[in-house]
Amino acid sequence: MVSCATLEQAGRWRWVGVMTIFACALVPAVPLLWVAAEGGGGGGAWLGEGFPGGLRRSLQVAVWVAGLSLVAGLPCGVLAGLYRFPFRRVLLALLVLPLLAPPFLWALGLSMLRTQLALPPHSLLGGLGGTVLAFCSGAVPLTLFASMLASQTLSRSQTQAARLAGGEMHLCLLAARHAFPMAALAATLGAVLTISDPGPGQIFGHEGAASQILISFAASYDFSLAARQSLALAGLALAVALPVAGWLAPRLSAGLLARSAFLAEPGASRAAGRLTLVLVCSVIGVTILPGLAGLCLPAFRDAPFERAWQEAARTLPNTILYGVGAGLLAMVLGVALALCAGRQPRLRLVALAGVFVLFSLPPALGALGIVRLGSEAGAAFDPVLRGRFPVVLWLGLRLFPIVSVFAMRRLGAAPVSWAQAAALHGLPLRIYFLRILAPWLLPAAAVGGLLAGLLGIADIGSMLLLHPPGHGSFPLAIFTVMANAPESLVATLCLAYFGLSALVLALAWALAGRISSFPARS
Amino acid sequence: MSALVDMNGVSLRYGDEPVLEDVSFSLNPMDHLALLGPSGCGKSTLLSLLAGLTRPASGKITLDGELVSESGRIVVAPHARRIGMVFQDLALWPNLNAVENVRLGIPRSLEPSRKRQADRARKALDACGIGDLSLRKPAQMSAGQQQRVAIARALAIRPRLLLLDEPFTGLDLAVKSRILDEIQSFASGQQITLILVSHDPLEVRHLSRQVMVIEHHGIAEQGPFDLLTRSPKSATMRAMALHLAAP
Amino acid sequence: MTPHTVFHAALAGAAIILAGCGNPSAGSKGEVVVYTSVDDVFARPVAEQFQAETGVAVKLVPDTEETKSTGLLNRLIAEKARPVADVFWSGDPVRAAVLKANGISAPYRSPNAEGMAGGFSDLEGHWSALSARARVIIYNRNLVAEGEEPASLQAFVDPKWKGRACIANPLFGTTTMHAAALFSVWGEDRARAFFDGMKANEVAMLSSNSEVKRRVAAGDFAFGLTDTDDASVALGEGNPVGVIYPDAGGDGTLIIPSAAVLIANAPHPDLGKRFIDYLLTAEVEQTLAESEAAQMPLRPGVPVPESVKRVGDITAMKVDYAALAPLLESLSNGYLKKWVDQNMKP
Repeated sequence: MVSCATLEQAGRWRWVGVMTIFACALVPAVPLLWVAAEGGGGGGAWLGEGFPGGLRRSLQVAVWVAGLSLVAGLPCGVLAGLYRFPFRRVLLALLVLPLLAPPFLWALGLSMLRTQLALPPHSLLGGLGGTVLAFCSGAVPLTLFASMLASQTLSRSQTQAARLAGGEMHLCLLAARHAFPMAALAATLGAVLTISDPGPGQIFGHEGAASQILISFAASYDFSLAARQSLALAGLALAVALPVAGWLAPRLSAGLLARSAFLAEPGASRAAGRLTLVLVCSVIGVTILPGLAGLCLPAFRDAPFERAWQEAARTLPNTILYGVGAGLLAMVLGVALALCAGRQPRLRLVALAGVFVLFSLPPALGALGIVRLGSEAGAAFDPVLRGRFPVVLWLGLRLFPIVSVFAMRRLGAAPVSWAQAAALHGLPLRIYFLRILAPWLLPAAAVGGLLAGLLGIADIGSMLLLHPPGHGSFPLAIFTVMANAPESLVATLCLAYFGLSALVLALAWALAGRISSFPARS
Repeated sequence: MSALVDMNGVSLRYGDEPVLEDVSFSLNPMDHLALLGPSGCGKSTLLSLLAGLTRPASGKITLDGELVSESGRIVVAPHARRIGMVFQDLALWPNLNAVENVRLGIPRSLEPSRKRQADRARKALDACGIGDLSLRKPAQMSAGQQQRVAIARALAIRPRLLLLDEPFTGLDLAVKSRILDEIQSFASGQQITLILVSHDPLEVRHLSRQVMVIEHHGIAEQGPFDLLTRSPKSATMRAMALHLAAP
Repeated sequence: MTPHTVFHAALAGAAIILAGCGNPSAGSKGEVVVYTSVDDVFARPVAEQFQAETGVAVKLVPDTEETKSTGLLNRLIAEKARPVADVFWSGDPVRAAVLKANGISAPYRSPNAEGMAGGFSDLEGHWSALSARARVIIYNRNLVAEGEEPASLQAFVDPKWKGRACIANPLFGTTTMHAAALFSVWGEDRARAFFDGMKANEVAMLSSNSEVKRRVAAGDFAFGLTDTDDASVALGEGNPVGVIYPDAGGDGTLIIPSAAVLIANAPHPDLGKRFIDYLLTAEVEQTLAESEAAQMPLRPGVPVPESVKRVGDITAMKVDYAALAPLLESLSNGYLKKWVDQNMKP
């Protein structure tokens, strides 16, 4: 019988597990990386002449996005985790909306708003500013939710002690310090995601390295160059991510004592609640409403709801399937990675660095790899490599790092003595996992899985390449209809998409509220 | 009478830091031993070694003549040693109620049927005076009630050796006295050998007959408590003697 | 709800998802898979009409604008060993030529190609041309005085319009094709001078033709280069814009025909051919002419709305479409790439 104490001990199985999971995530990219290895340098520079400039612009954007996400997301998230405030559920649901849509769509909304407001092209809603703002629409909520979750892992006794020591301000500062590693991680993830997304840069004329890769794919059809550029991007992400991962890795494991694993309820301080409300509304007002308004306002001129409903009816079931499937797979892989990394410092460092590298790779690399594998593998492999399953598979493989980050933090907070007590009493590992560890990890894994599912649905590049004919997703339909569709139709589709998604999220939230939350609250 | 616990030349390091160096002692059946020493001296680690939760770097540990741990190796798994332990932080599983906390701690090898496990768990909770709270989760209990659940879980498996790692921290005197009496009568009635880690002379006096002081990674002195307090050699015993002598 | 219940619910959900991921089955009279780079709003009604008339299910896979994703062509190239698509309905012949060059297309001469205007289809039958667009100048009536409308591409290098014109990224879509056509017709020196002149004249490079349309209509720019379908949509939305078919008295306007391509080793080749036959009918060309695509039929005699020109009414640029694909490839990796990189903001 495998002892539960194994979960708290070093072992070769951990390295095997971590490497296997990352290998699975990288396998789809192998066909194109192979092409890169075989292909020569071609004419001109090995990475293309425009690539260094694109890299510079990408780094610029990434640094701004990380900084702004941290500055806006951390305090908001901490306060949202510590205090109740009016319209909490509605506002938090609004914050999720940007994650549903590709940053390209958000950038388009901002650009359309700028046009509607007759602002000059070089205003804040243009160039670097517009690009950063478009990416912040997703990165700030990501950081906010990470901070919120982290602040909610403070124990009741810790919050009470902080309040006694210095009141609410002291509690907020303590919570901010406690949440900072997770917030920094989420902000860095958000920044890394900007590197692999060409969208907003294309719209606002601030094209980054991802645009260069898109050109290699979509204009030159030079897979070899695209793969080399992707590898270079991954190398850069690794170089930037390693010091961040090195700093963060030890801070992800701050185990609570079992006596302390009873968490605090959100507090009811009126002043703090009002402040939280103002801050959250400000975040929504700056990062979300402009893009949403730009996208959806034309719908109020002349809304072809019937056409929009047709698209929704055609694509919504598949959209839900892809999102839920990707989220579940991401949860399984993310929790598995967190369990394998455990509290081992070196493994956590490797896991974090690997997470950043995976995120920096353009989605098309893996998606095209799966298409190629599907073509060359033969009809016997169609159930795995063609159809809807590879869409779920690829999105889950691509986005499980989000879940792993949340799960690592949550697992790090679990008391060591739980596994020791289980080992001493001969509790089978399966029972320990199902009855004790999984419920502990569930809140973090579920939030991570939800975010992964939403981001997966928004990945239209992968969707376009992998979806079986006739089974596209709603966001993909918006993008394929967008070209030369009337603005009002695009706006109505966006409105329908966000509205229906909000409904689905509300139902999921209501369902989650009925699940006994863990640990127990007084 | 052959020793129940025999620790011979056991050493352990965490990285470059020595924790225990060449520790040897033995314990007879039904002995009650208190482990004393300054914080961080290795008392909890010693319990962890006995429980099989930590591997010794060198030395041997036998239980009732059977080799259970040796250099770098756990020979007998923790759950096969019939050891009950009350952890310093109690290690109660928060999402399970009291009866489930105790029931899951009863291995199938002891009680194959789930119903009998549940019965045994309820009996253990009743014996600890907490039967009426069996459906409550730990967060819904006071500290004293949680400690009783932890003790019930340790006693439910009818261990031959009971390890108590500062289990009474934070309890008021009345509750502590009551629990101490209960453990004392249990240990005597069930013929359980007991090792207690504590800083409190009251607990030590109440539960143990023998005392062992760990200082500077090894055993500083051991013997009957009263004798050691009369002529203390270690800093710990000197402090304890002073505390007892204070008006 | 306990964690146990959640776990079992999650297992059940996973099972449902796995079941849902099973490969979908075909329609009763079979199915044809059509990848298309023609805009979804125009292609889908045609596909639905074919399905209604024949009972053959059409699985349409539309593309996004090229600057928004890696594109369907990459998918077709990656699927080469065992294609999923039966037909590729391309919005321009260049993509069709790329498929031919990669050995992904199969020759098919549809009987319905008889009577179509000549010079647009592949001589070896790898693509059949149909309904065409043209490259036009769209201008904002509020910013361009009457009588001063830019009638030629030379307006883009006229200092009078410095900083007030825009084009889409010439590495993507029909703008690439237009650039290749200029290099082909003008020769390298003149074409390079033109592009360098545009850079000097601060012509803005936007992400797509639809963005050109949108920004000109909004008044951000006086005029821009786009396609007739974009211009038609802008007019249909009531924007204050006008459209010019440039260089009517000179080199002419570039005509961009759509192209229907049969995929080699397609899973349903007969149904693919049937779909191509359908695309080449007068009814489809009329539908596309009457839609907001405002596409010009290549078949003479097809009724068109008044606002839609006929191919014969335009001074067409004399271009060898088959020669454009290799030229485009060398430009995309060479001069044009450099030009785009130099136009990127620092």
